[in-house]
Amino acid sequence: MTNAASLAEFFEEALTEAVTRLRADGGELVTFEPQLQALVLRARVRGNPLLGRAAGISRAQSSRPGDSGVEEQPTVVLPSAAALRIFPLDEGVRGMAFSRHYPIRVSGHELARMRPEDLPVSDASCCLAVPVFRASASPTLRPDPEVIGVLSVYIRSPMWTFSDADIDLLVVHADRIARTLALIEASREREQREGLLTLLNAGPTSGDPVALAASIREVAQHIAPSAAFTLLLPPPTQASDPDVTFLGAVWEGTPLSPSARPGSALPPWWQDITRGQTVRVSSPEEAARHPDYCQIGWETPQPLRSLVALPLRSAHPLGALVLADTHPGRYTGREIKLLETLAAEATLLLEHTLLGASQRTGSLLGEGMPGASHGGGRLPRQERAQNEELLSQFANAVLTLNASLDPDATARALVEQAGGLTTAAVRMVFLVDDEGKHLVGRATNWEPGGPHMPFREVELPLSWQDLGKQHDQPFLLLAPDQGDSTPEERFAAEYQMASCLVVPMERPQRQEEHTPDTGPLKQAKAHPLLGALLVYTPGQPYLLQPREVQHLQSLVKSASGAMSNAMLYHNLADAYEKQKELDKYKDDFILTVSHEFRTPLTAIEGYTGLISRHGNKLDQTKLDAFAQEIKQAMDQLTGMLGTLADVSRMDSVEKGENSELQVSLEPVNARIAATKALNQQQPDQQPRVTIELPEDLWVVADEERLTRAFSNLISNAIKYTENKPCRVTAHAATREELLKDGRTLKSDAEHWAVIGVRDYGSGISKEDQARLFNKFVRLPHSRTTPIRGTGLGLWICKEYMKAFKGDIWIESRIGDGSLFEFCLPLADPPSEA
Amino acid sequence: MAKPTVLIVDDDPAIRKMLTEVLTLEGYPFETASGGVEALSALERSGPRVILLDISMDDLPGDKVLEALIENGTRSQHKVIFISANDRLERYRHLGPDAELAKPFTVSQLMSVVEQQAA
Repeated sequence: MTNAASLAEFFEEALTEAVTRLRADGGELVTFEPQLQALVLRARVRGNPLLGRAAGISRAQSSRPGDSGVEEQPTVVLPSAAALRIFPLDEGVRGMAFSRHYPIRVSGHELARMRPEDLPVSDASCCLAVPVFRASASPTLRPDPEVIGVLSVYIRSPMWTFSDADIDLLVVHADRIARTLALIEASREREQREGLLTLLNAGPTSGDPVALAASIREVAQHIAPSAAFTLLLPPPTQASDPDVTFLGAVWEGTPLSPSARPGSALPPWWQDITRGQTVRVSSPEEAARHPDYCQIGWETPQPLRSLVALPLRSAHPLGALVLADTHPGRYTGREIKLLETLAAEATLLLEHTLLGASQRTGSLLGEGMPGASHGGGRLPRQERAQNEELLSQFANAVLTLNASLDPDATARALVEQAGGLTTAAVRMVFLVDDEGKHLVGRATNWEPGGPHMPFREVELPLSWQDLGKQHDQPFLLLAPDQGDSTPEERFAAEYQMASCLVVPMERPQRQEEHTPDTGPLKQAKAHPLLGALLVYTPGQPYLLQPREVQHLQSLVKSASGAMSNAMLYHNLADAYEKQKELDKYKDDFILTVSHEFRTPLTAIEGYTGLISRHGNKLDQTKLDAFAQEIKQAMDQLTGMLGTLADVSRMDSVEKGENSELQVSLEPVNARIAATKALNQQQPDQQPRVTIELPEDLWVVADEERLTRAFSNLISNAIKYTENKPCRVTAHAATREELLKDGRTLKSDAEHWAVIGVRDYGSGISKEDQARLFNKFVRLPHSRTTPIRGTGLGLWICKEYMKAFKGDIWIESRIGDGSLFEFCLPLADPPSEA
Repeated sequence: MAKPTVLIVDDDPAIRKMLTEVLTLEGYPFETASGGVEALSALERSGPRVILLDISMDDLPGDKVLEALIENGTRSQHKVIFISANDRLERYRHLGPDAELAKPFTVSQLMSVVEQQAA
């Protein structure tokens, strides 16, 4: 899916599908390309293949080949002004109509205001266009969507127009396109990162800063082609040469000689760099905010109109990676994110290359610039050799760390690489969990004669010794008394930890606007700490060695970028997979529901038809019987509608639009509710269930929904049970007993009823039990709901019990049937008055 | 003229019941089967039938029942009316049912199809 040809194919397929489904006469898909600042026509369909009209799908020629990624396919660039006339936007691609999230409907008087040539096809009578938003990993959170394209369809016949349902349908299609694009983008980003590493591979080992700068430039060009590039290094504080160094400076592909760039002053944005901020001048607003920022430090042959400068910063500000171009709007959020990764890696490599270079020329790190020559070899030969080994060690470490987009593999790489830099015997990597409450063990290289608990299950509370509060400096952690009352104590005992060095892994700072607007990621972002590297030697106190600490700190710093990217990618891929699956379930669900509605409707249609055809022949008994059948079918329909309404309410609860399902909790007689539910079953099935509930069993619930829950459980039981009748039973339990059994109780009530529905069927395996209460789960051959086969019945029961502040669970053994039990607070019977 | 026997095949008891009421009042003799397997054994025992055959059944779906009739060479003895609530009747047209009915249907629709096939 990542190559250009299959991407073009995807665009075509997606558009063709939209045109077909909307029964339109044709359509267009355009995307906004930030690098070109224009809308690009991705696919055009003329004629609806379904309707058998001329189904020509045309793609025009590329006007700008050779740009990276998407641009390599044949496209036509629509000058944005002309393209925008298709849609009634005044100016700017991110025009008002799009950013307000509303689809645009061009018909009626709006159409009249447009000239015929504004429509995609001159004889189109009506055009429907919806924005394609950048997909977010979480389907529920979409605070401020970014428009990345427009999907439009049109019809020719003046007889027709598009309905609201068509708009909804087209929005669904646009969403699907957006999600696929996001997946493609994620994998493209991964490819770019991999390419980036291959390129960097050549740089560090040579030890030549100029060669390193050249390879960094090559990568940067790959990410964001620019006219100007340099690594800007400030004048060293105590150096005789006061000039700013422009390492690897290039203008339009030609390296600049030092004489061509007499720069002695730092650019005006240098202060921002020293504060660790990325400087960007790309949009008109940014240019207006800092009119003097568009300079690189030397006189350029043509004026610059876009610039991005990224800090190269380790313990102290080392310099800046600068890209600039003569066109405005060159640098987008995505590109800057990649460039920031590049800058983080470049920092480390540069620092160590400079270290190598300064050793060769004999100056100390940070005091001299490459090529400068000061004094003689101050470092002893042995130490120099050590340093060089360290240097290659680091280059290796960085490459290994970045090789994977899997958080676990990255964690494993980190413990391995840390091994080369410390004398401590054990290295462990912990990551902060999603809630930001624990550090969870992810990798260790220690495999002694047998720690009893698998390392992955180790969880340390972030509150322990303020682990979570310190995220910039390494610190020494004294292990607690070795006992077994708290997780920390058990951990220290198990792993024989006396004291250890904690090197915190800080979450890399990204500019706010580049943070993906995703739910799970947002939560994770809440904690500034990404994780930590712990090193120690079992049974011994950790001896602080400043050099070792410094090295580990550098390593962890470079790992943080890799780790954060890996986690981001991981979460994103995960969320899309889930969303895709859910989409499929929803399609199935709609089909099943419509099927289930037809059955009672058929019964009603049949009996009413009979009454009107044969009314005169029918006696009162027959009429009553028919009326009863009709009533039963109507009840079934009403029940289904109630369930559907609740499902959609629960959906909105899940999406956070509502805090919880609104139920009216009051005393309900459980026996009456169960009997009602039984009466809703097929008459010939009813004798297969015995209700053994006491007559005065009152519980706190919502009557209608408790009945529905009973109905779901009873109809399930009927379907499963073989020869013996199913039983509905109850017993009392105290709060303490229930809690001991691991039930979740949201009410403080002391006295509870446990109600069970028992069948004597084949039973349910442990695996299936675990997912039984999940949404859309249908066990093989099961029909779990009155809306049969929707896979929502037990999920609804669980949601109801939650709303009633109780809990539901299952006990089942293969061959021995199943017992579904739920607990509800006992209630006093309502007073007779 | 004597009316042929109709075999009602549907795994939903409510629908079976409704169909028997209709056929009784319309004067058609009928048999019922609550699934595909039962339908096949009923057809083995008796002669030609008009079959009201529901497609979505758990044990053996209606389309499979028709396939079995084609295989055992008795297809031509019967008139097969496919019934489905799925809106997907066209998927089964290649099997060549004699008629089809989409749920929900009216009594008039049902009877006009049955009468046509019974003639």
